[in-house]
Amino acid sequence: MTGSISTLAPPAARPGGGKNDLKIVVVSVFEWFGELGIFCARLFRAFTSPYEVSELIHQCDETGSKSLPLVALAGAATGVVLSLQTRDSLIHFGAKSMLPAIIAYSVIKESGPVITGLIVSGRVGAGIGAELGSMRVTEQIDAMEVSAVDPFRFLVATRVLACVLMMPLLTLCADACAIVSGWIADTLAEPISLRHFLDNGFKGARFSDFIPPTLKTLGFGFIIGIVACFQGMRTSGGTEGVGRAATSSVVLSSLFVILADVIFVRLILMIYS
Amino acid sequence: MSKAFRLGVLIVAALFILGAGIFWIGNNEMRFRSKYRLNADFQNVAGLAEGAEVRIAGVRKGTVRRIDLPQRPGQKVRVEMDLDSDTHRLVRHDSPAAIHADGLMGDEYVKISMGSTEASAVQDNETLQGAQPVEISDLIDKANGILDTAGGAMQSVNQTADSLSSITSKINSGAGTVGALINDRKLYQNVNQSTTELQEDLEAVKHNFLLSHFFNQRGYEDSAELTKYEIGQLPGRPAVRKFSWPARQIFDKPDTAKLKGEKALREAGAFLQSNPFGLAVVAGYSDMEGDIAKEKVLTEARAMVVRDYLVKNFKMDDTRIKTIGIGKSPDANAAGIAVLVYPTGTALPGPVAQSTGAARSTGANAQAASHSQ
Amino acid sequence: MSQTRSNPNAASVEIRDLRKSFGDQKVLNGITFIVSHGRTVAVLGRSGTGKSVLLKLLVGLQAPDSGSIRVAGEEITGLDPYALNRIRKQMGFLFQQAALYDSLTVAQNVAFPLRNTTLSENDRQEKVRELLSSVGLKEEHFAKMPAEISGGMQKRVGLARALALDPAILLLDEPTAGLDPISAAEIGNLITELKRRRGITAVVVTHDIQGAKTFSDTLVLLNDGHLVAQGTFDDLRKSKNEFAARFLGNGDHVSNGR
Ligand SMILES: Nc1ncnc2c1ncn2[C@@H]1O[C@H](COP(=O)(O)OP(=O)(O)OP(=O)(O)O)[C@@H](O)[C@H]1O
Ligand SMILES: [Mg+2]
Repeated sequence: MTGSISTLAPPAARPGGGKNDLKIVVVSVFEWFGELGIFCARLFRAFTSPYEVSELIHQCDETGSKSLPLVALAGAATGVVLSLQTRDSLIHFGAKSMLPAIIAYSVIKESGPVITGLIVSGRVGAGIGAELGSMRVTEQIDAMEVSAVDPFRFLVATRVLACVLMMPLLTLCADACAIVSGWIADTLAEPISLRHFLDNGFKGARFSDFIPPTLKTLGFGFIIGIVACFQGMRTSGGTEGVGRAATSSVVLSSLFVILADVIFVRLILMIYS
Repeated sequence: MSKAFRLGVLIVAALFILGAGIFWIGNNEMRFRSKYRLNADFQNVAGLAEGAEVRIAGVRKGTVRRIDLPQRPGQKVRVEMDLDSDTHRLVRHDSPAAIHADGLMGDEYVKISMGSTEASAVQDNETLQGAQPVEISDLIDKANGILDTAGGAMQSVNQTADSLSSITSKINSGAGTVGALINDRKLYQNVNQSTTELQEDLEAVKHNFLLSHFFNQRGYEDSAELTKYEIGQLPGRPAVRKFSWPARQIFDKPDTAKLKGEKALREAGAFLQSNPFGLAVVAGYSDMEGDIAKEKVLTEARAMVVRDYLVKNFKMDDTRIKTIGIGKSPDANAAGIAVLVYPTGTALPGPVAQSTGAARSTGANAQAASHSQ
Repeated sequence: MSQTRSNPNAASVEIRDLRKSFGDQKVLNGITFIVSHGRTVAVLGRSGTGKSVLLKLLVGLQAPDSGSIRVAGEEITGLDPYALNRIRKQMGFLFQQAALYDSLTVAQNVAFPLRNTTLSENDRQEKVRELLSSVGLKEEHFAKMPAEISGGMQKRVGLARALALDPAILLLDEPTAGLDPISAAEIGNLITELKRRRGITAVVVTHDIQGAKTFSDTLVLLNDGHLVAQGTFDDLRKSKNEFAARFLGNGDHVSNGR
């Protein structure tokens, strides 16, 4: 391997063309993971000086602040739905007073991180996939390479790092919106002060309940960033290839976020119980 | 909006939320308040969970940190608690710890009562004695026990009544000796005693928070109160004036004696206030549905509640106002309440002659007598 | 190596028996030529013969199947990315499609290779202005996005960007394609000027035979993955090679053909 990224072009075996041979599919899946591994290794070597600080800030803006309205909205919607649904069920069991705690716990432990992960992988994953994909097919990435600017350092490292850094922040915002909107939905049904709601919601809460689920979103951010960048960087086949890169970034990063969540949850439970 | 501004908004928002979260949760964990550790040993913690509240004099002042099962059978479960240090001066060596629940479905919490002034203050890590917690299932067992006792008492009342009647017949028939009479005297005391015990048991059941709620909702507290002004039956002569209302207009639920539409009663009150009368009877009656005994009590209670209302809100001679609970009345097609006014000169009937049940016993009557003084 | 007579740091390019294929398609099939320090070589050939591929191999964007490429005396095939970057800093590359960063303005595009240099912000802007004027771009276009300027202008911005790091070696893929004759002549003059003033070494892929004649020292003619002829314009024109003669528009053939 010459170290040129061009060697990371997608495997020759592209499903759909010829016979859908199982062997080809299996081989290409393993190839995909192998190349992803090489990609990660290459990425980790790119986290050295000179640091592309201004590009990092730009990417933080792209992934973070520009996703904020969407994430906040999704969080708020989750809170309302949780409140309405759970309230209905709790009334059946006569445990209505548990509502704030159920909303707080389920939002912070699960819904908040996962909703944020899915929103970000949809918005940012597609963005990165399409952007890097089109830069790849119009030779802008090659141009960067020949300018002696490492595209891994400039494009990939900044985007992955921005995703990693912004995910917990966005998750916190989503959590807050969900809890506040949950409270609003609850207080409309039966007036309760926000203070009382929060007091009830966090009754008996510990840092170990809430910190690990928020920190797991660092992992989500890494997955979204790396998968989207990988799919973008290995784009080939012109405009159609860019479309494919964007779609596959979203599909694969959402899928891996959900799969990783299963592992993270198990891990957190193992460590903290 | 510049890039830096947007990013700044996100970062500040997230930090604020993080800070608020740390504050709220930290409040719970009391990481930032000074605190001390106390233990309490319990036979049984009744489902208490780690992280549960600790209340001192009803104020939330700590959390349960750990619950350790004992090493061997026969030892107690140890509950470790973190308490705010400002409670240090209240919790004494002899402060009892108990486990309570917030209502029927609520969470368990540890209740620590203030100790005696003479006892020394607790040390850090000291162990308090825990009281055996009351579990709902135990409570229900206890209630069942009381009801069993009540049932037993009823039987003995029946038996004594039987014995009494046989004694009476013996006396009537001239049988029996002085020794037998002494014997009978004892028997009579026994009857009194057993019925008083039963009364106490029933009151105890009602004062239990679970059941008192049930009684409260029905608008009256004490069964003895119900019959204080009750008469056995209506006077033989016709009433000069009769007011009547359907129960649903006056009471809030079909099975309670809680007033809702008391305004309707004013008409009767005004009449009694401005017209002389010999006797007024507040009669409660119900339709043919429901359990006989229950309906009887309910109608008594309703009559009582209406009487109270009239006496409290209008000026009149309240010794001349009596109540009667008719219970199921075949000539009523719906439950209701009536005020029957009799002319001056009507004799005041005596207190209820025949008892509707064991609840209305000599004890209850004695109580009623002392009240009316 | 014998050709690099001058100093050891000579910015020469040596290609030996270079082969490259994509799948079953053999694009380059044993190419050998040398560009000595300070010389300009024009690479000519029919469309699709692999001229662009050749340039990409020279800069290490693609790896050859076999053969050797020496840039300034250093073998670049199989080099790790960091060593490759060091060599690339001496090279300027113009892509056939310009490949401007479409999220950056014209001026930012040209400034991009300068980002990791020690130049002050003012010097950097001054340098960008100078480069853009040298390729004949008016000031009013500096702040535009690549999508807002014409194809010929994009090409010139790409050239300015290739020149930004003052490279010793220039690799240009059709610098004058899509330009009007006057602009094309200006670009030709620019290359000649660079060669004269800074002793730059250049490999220029072009279809512009008149231009090639003026700015290049040697011409290399490719066909079917082979190097068919090599030499000065006049050499090739007079050569016995029929393809070369036809390609360079040896009057008779062309006019007869018409
Ligand atoms: N990445 C690639 N994958 C597969 N085939 C390629 C690739 N790049 C180039 N080719 C093939 O190599 C051949 C040479 O392409 P190249 O772009 O070098 O032509 P060219 O000589 O520059 O033509 P033009 O003068 O039209 O620019 C073409 O037939 C093309 O199909
Ligand atoms: Mg080409």
